[in-house]
Formats: sequence, structure tokens, C-alpha cells
Amino acid sequence: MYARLNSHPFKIVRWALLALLLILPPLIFENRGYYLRISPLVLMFAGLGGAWNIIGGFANQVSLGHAAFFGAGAYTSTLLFKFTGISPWVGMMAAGGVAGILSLVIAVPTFRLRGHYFALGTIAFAEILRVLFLYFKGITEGPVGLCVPFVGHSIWVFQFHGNVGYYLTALALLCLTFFVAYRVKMGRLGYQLRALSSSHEAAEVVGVDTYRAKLWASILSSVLTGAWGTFYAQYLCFIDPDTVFGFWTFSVKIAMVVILGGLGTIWGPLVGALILIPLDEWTNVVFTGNLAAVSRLIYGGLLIGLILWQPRGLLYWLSQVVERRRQNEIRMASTKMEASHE
Amino acid sequence: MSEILRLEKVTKRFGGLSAVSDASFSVNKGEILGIIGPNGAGKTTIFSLIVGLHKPSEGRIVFNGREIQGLAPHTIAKLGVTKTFQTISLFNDMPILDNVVVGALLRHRKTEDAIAEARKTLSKVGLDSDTTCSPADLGLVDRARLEVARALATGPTLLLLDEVMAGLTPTEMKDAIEMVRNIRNSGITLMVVEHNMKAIMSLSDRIIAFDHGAKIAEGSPEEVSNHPDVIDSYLGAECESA
Repeated sequence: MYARLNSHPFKIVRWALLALLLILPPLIFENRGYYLRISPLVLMFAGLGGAWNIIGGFANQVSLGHAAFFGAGAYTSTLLFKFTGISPWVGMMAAGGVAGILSLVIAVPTFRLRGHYFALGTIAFAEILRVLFLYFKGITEGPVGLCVPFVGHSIWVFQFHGNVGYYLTALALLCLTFFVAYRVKMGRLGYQLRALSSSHEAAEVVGVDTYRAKLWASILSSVLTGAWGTFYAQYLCFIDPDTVFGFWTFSVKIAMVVILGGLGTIWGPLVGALILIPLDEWTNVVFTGNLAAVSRLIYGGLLIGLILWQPRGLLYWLSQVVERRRQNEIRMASTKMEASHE
Repeated sequence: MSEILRLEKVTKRFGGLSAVSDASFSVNKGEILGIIGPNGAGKTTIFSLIVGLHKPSEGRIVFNGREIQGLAPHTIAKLGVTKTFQTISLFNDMPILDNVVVGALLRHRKTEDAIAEARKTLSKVGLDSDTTCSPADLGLVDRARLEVARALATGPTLLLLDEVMAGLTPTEMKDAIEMVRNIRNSGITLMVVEHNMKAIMSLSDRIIAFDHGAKIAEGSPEEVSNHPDVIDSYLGAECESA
């Protein structure tokens, strides 16, 4: 029976079901603006997590500075749009390009660092960018932030009426991100990244160019992160350095999504984002007024609880539950067969 | 016999301490060269220098007529020189098979080809347990075999084995010696560091003895085991304690 479930037509049905599930929310929530406002953000953080995972999960080079690529992407497309009128769709590609080049710049000083020192290096890099974008007010408007010029409902300039358009765009970008992550994980680069995450020395001695492997992973990761920056700018129509280059707002949150969902897995970031983002919003909404101060405390406490409960990520827990249920069914089926034989 | 590797006056200093001093020797194509010496004699450092994990402070290392000192380890591996690790350092987050696939990817662009090569290599070293498990689940014997398989999968012409027989029972030792001989018979030149004297004496065509980072003797197993300096610094100590 399980063989049949994995056979070709059933596989297609499963994927179709998943696709339907992902397209459903905007149709259901169309009249419930709040949920629909959050759902593109959930997809975005799943995508940011998927991109982060390529370097942070597969290669275990934990970056706490991915806001650098995200913010650079957001500002690239927005500045291009504001000053030259270039469509943010094109700007999105430019954003990916700028983020990719930035990752080359950051690679030189940080790739020699291992473990915590690498994380510290990436934090410093994102902070430097944040301060620079605050300082050069002439171009960036500094702490006041930038509004994406409003044109109105026009697909060409990446501005949609309502949330459905943004949701579908995020879904498409998420598919692209997961596809890239999947290809990396299954391919040559994936093997090399997992190897060097255990031991740089052993990987080198059996022929892995560890610097090159990390560089490729970092470029792919940051290009995707930069493109998501454009999505964010278009979706919220407003960006400022303290948010898009922020340590807590993005750098840490992106890493958290992956760690919560499952480090180094393809679907972990989606699971992590589905829990983390609604949890964040929910605690913000429920604990208001006098309780506003404890909202962050409860959010943090729940996160700590989840990670203590499942340190290997929620996806691991889910797969264990499914596996146990499957074993039970097989056992029950076989006892039934024995009974019928008698 | 033609020469495959030559060390010329190689010295490695860590701070003020010389781990290897003024070492010169050659390795001939197709031979098994044994390296012996007490702990701290510099055997593992010599291996690390050859594969590029350390850069010599002085001297030249020539492989197939090309100077390789200072090259990155992955470049040296591509040229055909690799080693196993004395403190076994497998990729514990990856299944057994994938450990070997990483090595096989050096000479196979496609992952399917590398996987096929890895399976072949695993059977060559006689590792036939479930290859989807983690290396951490393996016993000592199989972990050493996996170290050898991973290195072998890179397709080396010169393979450096660093104490792959440590801690084996006499029966396991016999199998291991057999495995090393098979590797040589497949056309690979070997350098072997081993503490078990019986194993290395029966295995090696030639032996070089080190003490305090310097070469003290070189020759056939009989010549080296009868060399007064070797008995004094290495074998003698063992005999007294026995």
C-alpha cells in the first residue's frame, strides 16, 4: 500500500494537494485582512530561512548578519525605482546582484573565521551597513526611511491591489528559493558543504575546495536574500535602515526560523516560519495595553520552550510522529493478516 | 625504481619547537614505505606537510617532478596525494556512503557516478554494514576502514595511512594487512605509519625511522630493526617494558 502511495500518479496528487493548500489561504482569507496580511510574511520568512539554510544549515556557517543582504536588496530596488523609474521586477534582479557582490566582499575577511567568530564577523558587517545607510542621508533619507513611490495597481511596477498578488509573488519566490536549496542539497555542492561542516581539514584532504564551496553557497544564499528584500520593500512600501538592516528584526529572526524548523532541511524553514511569525504576531495582538511589556517575554519564553523541547527542529519531530504512526499501521496490518490466516 | 615523492631538507617549526628537522627521503613508485618512531617523533607532521595541511618552514616537497609545498590540500589531492587521519575524523553528520561520495566527487563530476564509485570502494575495503547509518554507529575497525575508503575514493596515486591498524586484534590485523596489500596491488604507492612492529615489518618494503623530528635510519625492515639508534630510541624501550 505504501509502495502505491509513492508510485507516480499518487506522487503527482500529493504535490497537487500541497500546491492547492498553498494557494488556498488568499482565497479563504480575502475578507479577513489580518490573516492575509501575515501570510505573505510567513512565506517571506520561510524563503529567507531557505536561503539562509544554504550557508547556515548545509555548511553550518551560522550567519547572524543576513540582514545585510536583505537590506541591501530592499534599498537597491527602491532607490532604482525612485531615481530612475526602473521597474522593481528588474530592481529585484539588481538587488540579487548587489547582495551577491556584497557576499564576495564579506567572504574575504570572514571565511577564515570559524564557529562563533564567523557569526560575530557577520554581525559586524550588517551593523556597518546599517550605520552607513543611516549616515548617508542624501541618498537614503537616513533614519526617516524611504517610501516606495506609489503608482497604484500595476503588475508592471510590482504594486498590487489587495494582498493576493503579493501572496502569489511570495509563493513563486518561495518555490524558486526551495528549488535552489534542493538542487544544492542533492548535488555536488551539498555533499561538499556537509563535509566541511564536520571538518574543514578532512574535507580539504579528500579534495574539497572548502573556500570555493563556501563562496558558492554564500553567493546563492545572499542573492536570494537580496531578492526577498525587494519583495519586502514592495509589500510594505516603506523601508528604513534600523528595520531592514536590523539585528533582531531580520538577522536573528531568519536564523531562528531555520533553527526552530530544522537546520539543514529543505522544508524546515517553512515549518519554522509557520510557527514563529504567527506566534510573534499573536503575542503582540493578545497582550496589549498593560500587558504589552510582557508580550515579548511570553514570545521569547515560548520560543525557548519549543527549542528545548525539540532541539533538532520541529520538522524532525513531525517526521518522527509520521514514522511512528506508519510503523503502528504496518504492525496492525500484519497482525490482522496473521489473524485471518488462522 | 622510479621515484614518486621526494622530501628535500624539510623542516617544520611550531614556534621554537622543531617537529620535523632537515628530513630528506624518497618514496618509490609502487612500494609500501613504513614510517616508525616513538610518539612525538614527527610522523604525523610529515604526513600533514605532504598533503598540505601544514606548510614547511624550510625545504622542498616534490611529487612527480612538481614542487607541492605550500599548495592547498585539495590541490594536492587533485594531483593524487591524500591521507587518512590518525584521530579518525569522519563526517559524522553524513551517512557512511556519503562520506565516501565526498571523496569520489574529486574525480567524478556527476553525483550518480560518484555514488557508484563510492559503493565500489566500500566493498573494496570490506565495509559491508548498512551504509545509510552514521559513522558514529560503527566500531573501531569499520571506522578505520571508512577512513581508508574515503581517501581511496579520491583516486590517489600516493596514499598515506596514519595508524589505521591501531587497536586491532590479531585477526583484524591480518585482514587489515591484506587490505593494504590489495591497495598496493591495485597500483597505489603507500606510506604507512604504524606502531605495531610485527605488522609494519611484514608489510613494508622499506622502513624509515624517526626520532625527535629527525631521520635516524632507513632501509629494509631487517636493517632498520637492527640499527643501533633505532633499538636505542624505540625498540629498546619496548623490549625493556616487555
